[in-house]
Amino acid sequence: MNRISSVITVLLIAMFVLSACGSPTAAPADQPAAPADQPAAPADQPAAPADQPTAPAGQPAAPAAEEKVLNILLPALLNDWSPLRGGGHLVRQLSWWWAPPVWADMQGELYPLVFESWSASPDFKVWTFKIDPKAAFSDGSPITAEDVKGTWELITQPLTKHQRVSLFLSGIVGYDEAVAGNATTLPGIVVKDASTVEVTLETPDPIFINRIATNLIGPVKISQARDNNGQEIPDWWLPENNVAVSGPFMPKVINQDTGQAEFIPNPYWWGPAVKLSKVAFTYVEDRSAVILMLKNGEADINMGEDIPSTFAELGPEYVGTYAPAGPVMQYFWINPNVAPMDDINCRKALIMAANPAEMFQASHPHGPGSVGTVLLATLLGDKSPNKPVTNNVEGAKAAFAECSYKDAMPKIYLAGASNPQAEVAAQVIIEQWRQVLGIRETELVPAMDRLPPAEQDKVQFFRDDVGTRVFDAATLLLGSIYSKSGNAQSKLGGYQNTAVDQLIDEASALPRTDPNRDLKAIEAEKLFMEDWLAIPWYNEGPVMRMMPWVLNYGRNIDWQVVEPWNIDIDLSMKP
Amino acid sequence: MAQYILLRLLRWIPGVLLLLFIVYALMFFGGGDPIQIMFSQEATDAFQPGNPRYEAVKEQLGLNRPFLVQFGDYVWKALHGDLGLSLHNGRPVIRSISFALPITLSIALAATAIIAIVGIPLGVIAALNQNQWPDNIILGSALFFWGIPTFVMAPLLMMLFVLYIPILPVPRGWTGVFTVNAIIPLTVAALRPMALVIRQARSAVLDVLSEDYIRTARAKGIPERVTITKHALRPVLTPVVTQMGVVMTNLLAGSLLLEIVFGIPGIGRLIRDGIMNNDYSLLLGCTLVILAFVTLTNLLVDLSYPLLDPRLRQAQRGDR
Repeated sequence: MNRISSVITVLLIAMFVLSACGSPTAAPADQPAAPADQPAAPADQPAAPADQPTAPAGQPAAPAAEEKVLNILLPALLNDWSPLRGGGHLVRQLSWWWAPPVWADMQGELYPLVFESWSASPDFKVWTFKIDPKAAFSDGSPITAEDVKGTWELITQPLTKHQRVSLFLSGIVGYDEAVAGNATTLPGIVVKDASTVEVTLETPDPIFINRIATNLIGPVKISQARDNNGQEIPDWWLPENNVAVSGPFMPKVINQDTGQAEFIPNPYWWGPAVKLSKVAFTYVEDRSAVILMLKNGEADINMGEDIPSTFAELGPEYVGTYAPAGPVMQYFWINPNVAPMDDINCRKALIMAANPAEMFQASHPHGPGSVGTVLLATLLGDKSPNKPVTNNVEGAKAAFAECSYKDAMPKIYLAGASNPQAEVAAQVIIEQWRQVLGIRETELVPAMDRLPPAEQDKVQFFRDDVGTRVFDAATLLLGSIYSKSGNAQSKLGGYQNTAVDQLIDEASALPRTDPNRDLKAIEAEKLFMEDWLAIPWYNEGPVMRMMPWVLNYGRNIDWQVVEPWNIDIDLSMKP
Repeated sequence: MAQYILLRLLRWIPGVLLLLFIVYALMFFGGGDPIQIMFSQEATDAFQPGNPRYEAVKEQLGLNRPFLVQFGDYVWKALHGDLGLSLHNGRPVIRSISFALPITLSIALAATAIIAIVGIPLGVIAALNQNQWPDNIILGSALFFWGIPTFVMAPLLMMLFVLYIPILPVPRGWTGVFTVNAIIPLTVAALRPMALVIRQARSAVLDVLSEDYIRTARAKGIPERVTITKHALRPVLTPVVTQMGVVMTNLLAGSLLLEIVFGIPGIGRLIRDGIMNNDYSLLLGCTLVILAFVTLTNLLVDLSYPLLDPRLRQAQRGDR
């Protein structure tokens, strides 16, 4: 018994020791304590103009007696908080601590921030940006043109692993060499003076300013982030390395091992005063735990996916039923090279027999979003005369009567039913075809490669989304129905309508302010609709995933928090 | 004893190398492209092998070298204590493991201690009351909990003790064994394997109780409590400790589900991240560490036998 007691005693001691070592409160030696809160602003900081809202120097905006802490749940453990990755879960939190060159609201309207003004040459190849003289990092140092140039050069480097740099900076002179790892500088970006950046593009781009309206390329303090070889310095963004940030909040603690982080107001933030005392991030992957924490007020916002009971547990405000749809649309695209889709009458019949309202109601009973109509609906609304051609039973029957395959209809394959909502929507379409046209031979597949190779060329319908992060009709069509777009080449079976392409090319070359830009896009859409090549499903809306006591919260098309300084908490509503 | 331990460790090395080779090969040839995973949100379809940016990243990370060169380089560095950098986030693997491993170990040890302190006595009680209601309840409960998977039990217990009987906070993260936060995770970790220990203990006690020396002890008038604890329990512990060694290694290597459900930043979660991101360095480092501790656990179990059974001590001396 003495020996047994000894064994158990040793076991318990080992457990105690390991528990002490493993507890996050016993920080390893290489993680020094977080820096002191809120460094004081220097006495000689110039006062902002009277008509501009300013952050109070050296003090948090919220009164100390009423601490407003926003708790955000992350679905993945983030151990890389570098703002230069352009992807992953972190990318959706960048607006808390990094200011974008300009920012876009939920409707795509642009507002100055780091850049207070901009202009383009008449041919839209040279863009000049002026940095706001108030723009500063959290250590009080000004944001300079060198920081902008250095940041954009750094994110083109392969080892920086920025996932979306091609969306924003492609087309700048020298970009191709830099992303191939053959250069560390971009000759197309020139520092004219400390607060002026000039960018030269290979080809004209009237909407370049819209392209760079994102937190994903916000300037960092390049002297902290880049080494002498032009590469990113590891862990430069950690608070213990005194990182200087540009956003409304600055990091107090980032724990790479537990995925927890805390952000406090940035005393040198030059934008409107912040309303929160703190923003805290916690890693919670289990959906049940997420729901429990949201219900009892331990958390306010969830960034992870939902489970079927989420709406019932947390209500419509959490899901964001009210949120407006954005310019991302889900369609069932048609490959006109595969029978029976090579007959336009068959296509007309199948499209007119579909009812997108029923599809949307079945797949998204609580939203968010809106019923799919025409491609440009969410961007142009009533400005476009193009109307949907679906839900026309009589028209569908008449077209089907003209269809050459009506007596021997081949099996119809719908691919892309890769999530429960898409599966439901596809099943509704199939049922509508059965009821209206008597079509019974159909098959749903999640993805093309689930079919045997011999049958993959038989797929007529493919579900996929198209969209644009720039609220521009021509840009949307460039990515969806233009012959060189990935969508046209793959989902539409190599679709090419020269008249459509020409109109899109002409529209793309015009400035945003020219009304003909939208008019040509409308005409291109009309010609595409006359080819009968898609069934609309729904227009996506942002799933908010926030509790009702969170005020003024919204995310733009880039999933960035819009106006993070304006977010507030109604403490009286919290449990 | 030292020679015995040394021989055991030497025999461990080729097995480890072989296992690392297999894991590396599986990831290299079957796990998907780590660069395409890194750039999964790259907006262009052209980000494929052959694309200049793709090739630049591949070269700079050393992933364009032949398989055997990459593996040999990894083994050489590992022998010098360098487990490399995570392909996904660039952090030294040893740093990630040094944070995660104590957490998983403390959970495994704590769960094992709970199983020992609760499970063995329950098995003894069940054996002493064979086929009576205590035996039926204990065995029935053990089988019941054995049948519930971890990923079912965890959310059920959370709902019960956080929502319906709100006596505990939502367990998330890891703040130490002796905290309220650890109650539900440790309960989940211990309940299922406890069933095995209860059954093993019960079976072993039933075997021992039929021995002659137990009948002699009872005939001599020794109190039942002393008979059981002093005479019956010691021989029972050998198979039970073996079973607990297996339980411990399962807890070490199978902590994934527990850590995901409760957001515990342990080794299981690191392994999962390594698999999802096809992060060779991270996964190999975790495999190496888990192997080491599984081997150590088995070694400790083997070394405990002579402590528990003097006959084995005698046999061991005779073997040398």
